[in-house]
This record gives sequence, structure tokens and C-alpha cells, in this order.
Amino acid sequence: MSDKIVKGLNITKEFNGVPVVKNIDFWVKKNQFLTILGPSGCGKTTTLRMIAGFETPTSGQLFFEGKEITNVPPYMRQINTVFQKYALFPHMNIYENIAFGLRIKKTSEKDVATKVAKMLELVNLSGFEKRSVNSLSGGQQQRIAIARALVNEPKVLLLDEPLGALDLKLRKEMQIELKNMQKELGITFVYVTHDQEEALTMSDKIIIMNQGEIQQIGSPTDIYNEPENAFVADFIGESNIFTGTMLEDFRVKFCDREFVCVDKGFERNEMVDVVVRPEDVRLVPKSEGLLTGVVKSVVFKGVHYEMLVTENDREWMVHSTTMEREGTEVGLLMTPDDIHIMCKEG
Amino acid sequence: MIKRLASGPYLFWLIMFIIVPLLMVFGYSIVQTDSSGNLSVSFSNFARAFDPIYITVLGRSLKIALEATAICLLMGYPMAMILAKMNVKYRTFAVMMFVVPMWMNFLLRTYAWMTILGKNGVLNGILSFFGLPQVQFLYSEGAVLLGMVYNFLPFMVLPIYTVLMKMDSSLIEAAEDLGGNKVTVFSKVILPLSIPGVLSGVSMVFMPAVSTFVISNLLYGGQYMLIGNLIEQQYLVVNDWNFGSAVAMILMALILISMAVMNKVGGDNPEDRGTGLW
Repeated sequence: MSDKIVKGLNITKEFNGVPVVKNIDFWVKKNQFLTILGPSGCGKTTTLRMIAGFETPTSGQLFFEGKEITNVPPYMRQINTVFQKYALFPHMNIYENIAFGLRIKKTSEKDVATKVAKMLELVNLSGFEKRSVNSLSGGQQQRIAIARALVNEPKVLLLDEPLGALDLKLRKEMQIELKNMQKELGITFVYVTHDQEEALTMSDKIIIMNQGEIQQIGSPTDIYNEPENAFVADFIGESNIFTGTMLEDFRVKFCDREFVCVDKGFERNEMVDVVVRPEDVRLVPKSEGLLTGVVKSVVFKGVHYEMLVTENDREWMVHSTTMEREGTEVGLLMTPDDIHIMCKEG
Repeated sequence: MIKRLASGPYLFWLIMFIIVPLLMVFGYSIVQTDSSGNLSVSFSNFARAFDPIYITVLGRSLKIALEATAICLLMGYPMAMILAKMNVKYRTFAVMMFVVPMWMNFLLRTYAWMTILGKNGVLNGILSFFGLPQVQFLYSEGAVLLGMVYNFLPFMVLPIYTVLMKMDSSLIEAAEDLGGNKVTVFSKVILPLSIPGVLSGVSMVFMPAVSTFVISNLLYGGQYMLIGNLIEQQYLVVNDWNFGSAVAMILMALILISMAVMNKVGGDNPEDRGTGLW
């Protein structure tokens, strides 16, 4: 139990009577890189702000190292935050920004100087002490924001979409850097993002939220390979989602055809969501396919081609490294373990 | 070319109603008429203004204007903070409450204080109701100070309120997050970031306060109370436009100097400049 550094119990948050976070339970383990992932407005930032102390839950309890902190103000929590728009103090230079937290704790100026220098080295910005905030690029400001939080040696670091404003290449670099920093320093990271790729790259564990509710908690592999419902399947990567009927264990009917699958334990004739990943669908000659269709469009995506195939009145998305021309009649083939069955939502 | 044409009316306005009158005032101030009616250029008007009588008036003006500014700042800053923190629903109404009195004529508002503070006014009425002796509120320095604070307070509140409203709330959260309690967050982040608003508030209160003659006329009564009264009397009563102009020029120089000093003090962050009303 003691390795759960942050724990939330039945947390609900309402703004003017509108629930934004609905009765969620979660925990963060020590030294874990946890990501809260979800579309905008799903309550992920509100959850993070409650852990930081900027918002108080309408009901429910928050624990930090076993002690309740539901109503503890932010300045008394051993948690620091990296803000979405960096929130560096414009009236202070870089050194003063990073030293801010240390000086409040009455650290001696000598220690402040040592620690600030060490932090600037960690984020590769040594020599920037005297620079003003406005003279830095977005990526540099972001690093300073991280340094300003980490210098206080927090037990948990909260990051609110910290890479959102950076360009793609810089974002990828920072993802790796952040992950390395987290491993090196052994600090628990709670990371909020709407970017599923970012979440899969960096996290030890992912919490997927939608409309204020937790959809799934699991490792990136679990969440990608075994999505618990159609929302998760659709949100993490691309998915073909169809409505089907479970005829009996290991047999499902969808797209007007029966398929063998690896799922069991559903009611006979239960309505289910059937999810097939685009990269799991193979395009084969018409006679060899389980289904047949016509290629409607082809888009080159770099590593693969993304093709839309019309099968009767349904559309399938297929990812493949080989291309079929538009208008070609093709067969669609998938193996039983490529077919994921999940309970209908609601 | 079109840009130039478009600035035409403004240029005309600028020259006709600002530059020309200023030059005229300057002209009057350096001209003297001797007993036989001959005009001569001289700085004797300025020399006369440094007579101890007038220096006292000038000193009193500066002192009372500084006092009014300080009181406005001490009252206005907390008011601006309360306004900025208010729920949006009530905020618009509360800001309106600050602005609405300004819709009423300045003279009327000041006359109103005369009836409140006067010998048979509201305040003395209350005192005598409780059997207390009457107090001479009106025609005192305190009454002038009150009149200034009352009339100019919105000019302090509004620019500070504007700066506080524009302040990025994540900066305040970041300061709290880094361990700052309410006092630290205010002194290290909110106050330094609101300095541009404070500066424009201070100059918008100080300038009219140091040059007013209406408030002191009504609430103190006509003598050489403030430098504004001095100028007014030179123009309208004594009919010595030359001396009046010289004093006006000195006052203007004083205001310009104080503005320059303030810009220096708050000028290290050029991007924040002009966050206030101007």
C-alpha cells in the first residue's frame, strides 16, 4: 500500500453544478510515469489541478503518502507543477525564476546558486541565468519551467500538456528527455495530455478519461492491445468499429458474416462492439478474403498507406505497406485474435 | 499618402488646440508690460513665482496632491483587488458603481460635499441630533483632501483593476505551487506585476490633484490655497496673464518631471508599459 504516493477516492468535481469529474478512483505509484489521457473537456486537467491543490474536489478524498490532503492548500503540498503555458514570471530573470521556490524555503543563497546551476545543466541551458524570460524560445521556456519545478525536489511532478505548444520535432525530443529525467531523478510524474502517441511513448501507466469518467487504467501495451471499450479503441490509434452479435463463445457475427474470435463469456446473442485495428486487416485477392470490397481512397502516410475500403455500405480503414489502386476489388482478411470484442457502452 | 491625409484632421487639432495655445501661454509667461504699456521680453515673471508666498502655495499643493494620491492608492489597490476577484455576475455591476458617479457633473459632486460638510449640513445635523457640539468640517485642508480623494479615486482603481484582470492567473498558481503563501504570492508576484497599473493610477490622480482649483475653491474658499487657485486668480481676478502663465509653465514642468521620474522607476520592463489606461 505504501507505494501508492497519490490516491484519489470517489473524487467528484462540479463547476456551477455541472460535473466535470465524476466519482473517479485512481492512484499513482512511487516513481511511476502516469499519464492521464483523454480528449479536451474530459476532466483530465481538472483532475491534475485537484492533485496540485488549485481546485478542491466537490466530494471525495485525496491522499498523499497515506495522509489526507483534500483541503491542504497548494503551497503546503510536496508537489510541483509544470504549466501548459509555462507560467514563468516575466518580471524575473531565469535565475530568479528557478530560485523562486528555494528562496521561499529560506535556502541559503549559496545553496540556491549551486542548485540553480545544477538544474540549468540538467535542462541543457547553462549560462542562461541572466537572460529574461521573453528572450527565450518556447522550448527553452518549457525547460526552464521544468527546472523551476524540479529544483524544489518534489515527490510528485505534475505536467499539464507541457509540450502542447512545441513543434513536432522538438516535442519528440522533449518526450525522450522528460522520460530520461524521470528515470534518472526517480520522481513520480503525473502527465496530462490529449496526444495518444505521447502517452504511449512515455508512460508506465495510462488512465484514459472521457466525459469525467475513467474508461481504462493500464500499461500502454494493455491499452493498445486490449482496449476495454469502443471509446478507448477509437481514441488509442485508429480503429474499425462495428456493431455485432455474439452467437456463442468464440463466434461472432458482424458485417453480415460469422467470424471465429478468441473472446468468450458473453451472453448468447448479446449485442457487442467489434474492433479491428487497421494494421490488422490484410488486403488479399478477392477470392481469398473473408469480406470483399472496393478501394475508395489511398493516402500515403510515410511508413504505410492508409486505404479506405468500401464493403457493402460500410467503410474499413486499412493500413498496409503495399498499395492497391483506387477502384480495385479486394478481399479483406483478418485472423481470430485480430478481432476484439467489447461490451456495448451504456 | 492616404495615411498622411487621414492624419490631417488630427494634426490640425493638435496644432490648433494644443500646440498653439501652449505657445501662447509660453509667450505670455516671458513677456512683461511696463507702466507705460511697452512690451518687453523678460523672465521676471518666473523670478516672481519663487517669492516665498508662492513657494508656500506650491509646496502646499504638492503636499496635498501627494497625500491625496497616497490615500487613493491605499484605498484603491485593495478595491481593485476585490473587484478583480469578484464573481463575473457582480463584477460588471460593481465596476459600473465606480464609473456612474463620473457621469455626473464634477461641480455638482463637489457641491454635494458642501451640503454634507457645511455648518448646517448632514454631518453636523447628525452631531447635533446626538447633542454633540458642531464641528467645522468645511473650509479646511481636510475637506479639500476628501474632495480630491472622492473625485479622483476611480482614476486609481480602474487602471489597477485593468492590470489585475489581465494578469495571467497561472502565474499566481505557479507562485502558490512553488510554496508561496498568500502574502508571498502578493508581494513577489501580484504587486510587482501590477506596477504599471499603479503608475498610471498615480499619475492620473496626482496630475489633476496638483492642478485643481475647483475643489479647493468650493471646499476651502477662495484664497491662495493651491497653485491652481493662484493661476485662476491671476487670470480672472488680478488680470495678470503674464504671471499666471509663468506659474502655469512651472506647474507643467513639475508634472513633466514627476512623470519622467515615474517612468524611470517603472520602466525596466518595456513590454508591461501601457498596460494601464494609457
